[in-house]
Amino acid sequence: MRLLAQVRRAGRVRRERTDWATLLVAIFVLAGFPVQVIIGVTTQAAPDGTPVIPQGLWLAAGVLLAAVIFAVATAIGPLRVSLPEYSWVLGGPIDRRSELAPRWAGLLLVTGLVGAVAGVVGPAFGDAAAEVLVAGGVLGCAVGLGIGSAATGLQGRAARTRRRVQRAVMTAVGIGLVAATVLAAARVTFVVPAAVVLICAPLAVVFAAVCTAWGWRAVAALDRVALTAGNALFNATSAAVLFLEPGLLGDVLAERRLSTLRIGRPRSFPTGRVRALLVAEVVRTLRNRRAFGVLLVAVLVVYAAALVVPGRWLPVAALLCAVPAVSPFGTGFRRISQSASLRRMLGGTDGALRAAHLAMPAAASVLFVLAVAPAVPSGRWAALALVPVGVLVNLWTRTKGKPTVTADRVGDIGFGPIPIDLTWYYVREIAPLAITLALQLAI
Amino acid sequence: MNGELLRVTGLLRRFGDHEVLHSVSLEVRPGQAVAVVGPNGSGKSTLLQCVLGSQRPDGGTITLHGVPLRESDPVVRAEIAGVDDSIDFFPDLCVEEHLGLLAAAHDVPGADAVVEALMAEVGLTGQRKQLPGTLSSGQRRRLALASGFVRPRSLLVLDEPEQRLDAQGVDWLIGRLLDEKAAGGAVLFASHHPGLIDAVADERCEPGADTR
Repeated sequence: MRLLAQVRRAGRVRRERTDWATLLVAIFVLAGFPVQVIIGVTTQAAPDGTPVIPQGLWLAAGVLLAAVIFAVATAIGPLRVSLPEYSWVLGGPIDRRSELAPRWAGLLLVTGLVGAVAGVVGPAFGDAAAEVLVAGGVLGCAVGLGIGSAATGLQGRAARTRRRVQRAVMTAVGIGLVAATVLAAARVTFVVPAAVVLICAPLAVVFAAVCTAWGWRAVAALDRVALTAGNALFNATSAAVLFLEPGLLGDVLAERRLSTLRIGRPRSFPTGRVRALLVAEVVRTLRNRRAFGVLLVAVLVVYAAALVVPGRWLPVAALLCAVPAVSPFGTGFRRISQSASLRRMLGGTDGALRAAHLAMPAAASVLFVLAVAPAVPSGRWAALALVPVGVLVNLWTRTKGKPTVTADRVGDIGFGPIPIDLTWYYVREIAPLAITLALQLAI
Repeated sequence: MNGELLRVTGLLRRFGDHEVLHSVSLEVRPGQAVAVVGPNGSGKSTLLQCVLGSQRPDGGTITLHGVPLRESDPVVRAEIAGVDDSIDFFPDLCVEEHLGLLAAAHDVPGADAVVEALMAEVGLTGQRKQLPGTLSSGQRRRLALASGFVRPRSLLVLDEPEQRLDAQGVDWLIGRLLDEKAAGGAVLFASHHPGLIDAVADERCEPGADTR
């Protein structure tokens, strides 16, 4: 009752209609819904007991996560400074290593701690012996230190070298993930022997020591380019996380890739306005090969999920995978929606221009659904068919939606103050997916 | 002279308490060039952005052929070609493709030949395969101008088109704008270049004159 009274009070003070909806939907979406999902998954999994995730998949997922962290750290640069900070502090005649050492130590502390926790928690689920837990902790800590240090060492190297290392690591890990998925699909289960953990731990310590020495040497040699080159990517990543929009990051990545793209033969466009726009969309998409890679990985994730997620929830998993998979295909749509200048240049109505640029994401979402359909039980295909609708509505509302109002309106819902405008933004962004998800479960 | 093409009446634009445009009026007829002149901060770009629809005026009216101008109207988009600082390109289409797409989108007959000739004219033939992000600032300016010239239009709106152009480029621009007028097109442009203004402008408009 106290909560209701406070909500009423908030409503009386602020008379906008959206505030009530914000508060109610915020409570539903941000608190109640995930709980319902978790309860749903666990209760679905319980009766037959089949959705037990094989240890091989856990291991592959853990290695994949570590590889992604390494790739991101290498791309952004773990020791990143803003341009003003560089200009006014690090650009001066100072000992750069001593200036950067504290933040580097902090970085290693975090990566080491996270690795150690992961190394202990993983074996703990398998009821491992105490010495295995200790060895797992040491192993995880060493790998964490190694990742942080190696990323620092690579930060001083040429971009081409960094890309090659990233590609090699991600390819190896990708092959491992596919192998683990295939083994799990074939019901081949295995348990990592305790001896392997005990042997790997000291080896990992040696690896960490070598990487740390390399990183320490690299810290003093990091120049302006190395320290600031990742700023745009870092800002894009932060914005993508804050606004729950993978496209913000994807577009920056695409622009980085375009700086190295060579056009062999310029394409000419057919006569006829719509045909020309569609052909241009296809040309642009075919130049973004990464988009197809992301789509493929997302399809594989759904197949991996099919091994551990109950059939009823697979369309939901497909929907969640489809959003990042289709996002790179929406680059043209985002561009045309966000640039009034381009729309003016191309002429025609906004609606027609947007519709023409929605063709590629629509095709990609349909392709995705067709590709994952064999992994989904035929009884759930109706729910799966909602995926393109949800993804496209999500893309449309996110791109077309008005920017969030950053006024400082605050509502108290009994658990402390919540920022109304930011919450409303999140709700608005999540709503199309949440509604699609609810419909999928209702079918 | 024919009847009016563009008419701006009593245009008002404020940023907070600062009034940038105060009751600005002008008229552009087919075959005529109007130069918007004045020092930095006098509201030249703001005036052009209001005409292009990038900014919404706080008062006054803008009409095209006597009809209130609405930026999203496809007829307005077909008639007005604008080149200002906010011009954007598809980052993944090269110079030739970008111009080719604009020509095709406006159903320009013989688009390939038109693009070829225009690239030669603005000196971008050597950069035809380059993406916009790899062009120099001067080359990007040339591409922006070519984007305005490659498509049909009744009114050309240019914000300091001489920016980043070398002396040869400015001479070319003067010739191009004179041809535009001779062909019956109208030009509204802001500039700080006395040579360009003297050679091209039929009338001048100084938006900040009565607010300073």
